Amino acid sequence: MKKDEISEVRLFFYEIVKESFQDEPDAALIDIFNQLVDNLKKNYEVKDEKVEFIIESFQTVLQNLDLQKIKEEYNILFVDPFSNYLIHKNASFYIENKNFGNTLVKIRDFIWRLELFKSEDYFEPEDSVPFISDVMIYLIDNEYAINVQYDFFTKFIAPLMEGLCTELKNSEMANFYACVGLLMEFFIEMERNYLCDAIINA
Amino acid sequence: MADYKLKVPNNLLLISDNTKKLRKYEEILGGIYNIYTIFYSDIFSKEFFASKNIKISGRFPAFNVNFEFLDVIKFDICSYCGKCYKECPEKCISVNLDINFDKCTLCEKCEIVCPEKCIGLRSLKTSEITTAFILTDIDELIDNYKLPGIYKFEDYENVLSLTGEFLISESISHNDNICQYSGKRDFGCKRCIDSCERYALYVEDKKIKIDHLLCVSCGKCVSVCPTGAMQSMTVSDVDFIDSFKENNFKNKVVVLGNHEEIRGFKWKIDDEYTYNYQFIESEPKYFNLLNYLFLFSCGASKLIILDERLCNSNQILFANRLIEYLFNYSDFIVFRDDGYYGPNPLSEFYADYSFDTRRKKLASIIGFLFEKSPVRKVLIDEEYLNIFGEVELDELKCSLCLACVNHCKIGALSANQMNYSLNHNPSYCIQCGICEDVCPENAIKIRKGLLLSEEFFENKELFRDEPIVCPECKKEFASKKAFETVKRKLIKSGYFESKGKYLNYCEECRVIKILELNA
Repeated sequence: MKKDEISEVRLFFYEIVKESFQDEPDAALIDIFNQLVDNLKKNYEVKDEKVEFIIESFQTVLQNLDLQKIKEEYNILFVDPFSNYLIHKNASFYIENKNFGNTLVKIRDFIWRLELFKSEDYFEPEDSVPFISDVMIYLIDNEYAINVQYDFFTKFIAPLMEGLCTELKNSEMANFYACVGLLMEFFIEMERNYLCDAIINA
Repeated sequence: MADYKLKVPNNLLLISDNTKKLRKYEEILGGIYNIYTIFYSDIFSKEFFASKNIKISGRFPAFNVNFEFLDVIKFDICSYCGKCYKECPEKCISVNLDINFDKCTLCEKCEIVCPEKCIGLRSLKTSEITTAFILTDIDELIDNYKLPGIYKFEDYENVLSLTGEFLISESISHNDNICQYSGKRDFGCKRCIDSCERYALYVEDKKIKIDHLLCVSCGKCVSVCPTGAMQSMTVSDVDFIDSFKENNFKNKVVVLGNHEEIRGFKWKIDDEYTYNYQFIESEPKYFNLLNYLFLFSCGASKLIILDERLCNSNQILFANRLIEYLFNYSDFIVFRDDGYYGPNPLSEFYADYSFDTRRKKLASIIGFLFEKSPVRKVLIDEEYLNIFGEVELDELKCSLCLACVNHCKIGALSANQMNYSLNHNPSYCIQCGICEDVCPENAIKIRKGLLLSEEFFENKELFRDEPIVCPECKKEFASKKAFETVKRKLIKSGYFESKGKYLNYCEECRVIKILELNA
């Protein structure tokens, strides 16, 4: 794969992660997942149990759940303050076991240095999954040095997404999002390998 | 003391002379903290309070910050008519009503032309902020207020680590009744406060207080306290002495450390030699001269402390030196097993397990060791410990007012009411210096250093006076020198005629006389 193609794949994944956690899912997002599953089925040449499991899981879930059910799942997992199944989406929680911690300050410091600012209509903190996915999209889009991307990934994205994936996979209320967790887990592993190789070859 | 919860509020004040920095930290810490900002400048800012006159009082987590700030334009009554903008000869007023004071000549034309009278170029307002933390880059503030809770911007992680709810478990206590710090005079022994690197000890309401949130139980304050006012909640002096009642460790090597350290030590020694050792699971960081000399006087031949952080402890250096001087027995306290276990040089061991105060117990043990030593005079002038010395009195100046005795809680100075004498026991004196400070006649001087001799342990009469007798009831009621001193002072201030007429009468008879005179 060429570098541009790799960047495109990375951007696509960060984009769907961002979209999955930013707001309740809509038909467009579900379509993207359907297409992704189809593409993986058709085009993923290497025999891989993990990928097969992800495809199977997504197929089962998408066949059995309509959009309304997926929206309800989103609200139970991430929105309803009285839900007993709430899952945190912030890096501080998975790194320091508390929200609004030092990790949030460090991410704010990082984006301050990039001269990026959170728009006022965006309510999630800067260490939330959608926001840090967006930061990574910005870094890839603007071809920031690979060590900057690697640092941001290892310090913030990887610990957050690993923790979040585990929570999603273990949640008894997560079906669609358990599949998203599986996909994210697969993607993080690929991203980690890519960034490590890129750092070595830089 | 039971554990309890303490919540540190998330209030944060930023003080900087750099507006960009204020904006940055407002941005990155906003939402996590309730943020207040002060622009450290005498140039008016529309965005921040501008002030260089900042006074900080209180302590973490409740600092009170009083400051004066320039309140040049009253935006609530400004009609934005623009007359000031047009009138300004220096063009230093922007359309946003920011004033560039670098250009402003303070000509006051803007003030005069303002129809709303909302401009006051020298108008100052005062305000107060209560905050748990302060982040600043102003050296003057950092230097003047070296307090926990006030940090440089780059150390903001300290703020994060101290915010939230904490479970407090008190590990040390302070007993004001035997403390030789005088809150009234803000003078005396502050060794505990000086030793605390975390600023967890402080004076409030004229007493020494402990901030248990900041305390990390390093034990330094307990160790340096010569009176025993500072105590560990886990190993108090009384418990320590009491625990040896049943223990027989004569000529044994005492090994002192925590559970893990002792286990590690045991693993390294041959099983056949373990009978040589007496293991004490404790926290050596709290130990002081009393503990070390007590173990020696009770018969230990060696003390191995399994905490090398204490190797520069003055308490240990002093204990070793004293034992060496008295018995020519070196390195009683060591930090690793050196394999040398000579018998304890004492022919008879200390067996008094009673306890009054740390200093009195220490005096008793040193007295015992001195009695058993062949040496009759020992001078330790190395300044390992500054807790020994003597009080010297100028008899001609002393009026026996006994202010010194009233401040000497440890009992180094005492008064004998039967014979009107002032007495001094040097073995109890911790060199706090309060007696010297409090003496109105400037009659007391402190002589530092430990000179061990018979006299060191004796109650020495510093001064004796004759009593004055009431001419009415014949009761002895004061010393002659005290009477003369008061009389002299009344004469000097011109009050003797009015107030000193019945000065030679006792208190009761004086009142009766005054009432008779007025009747």
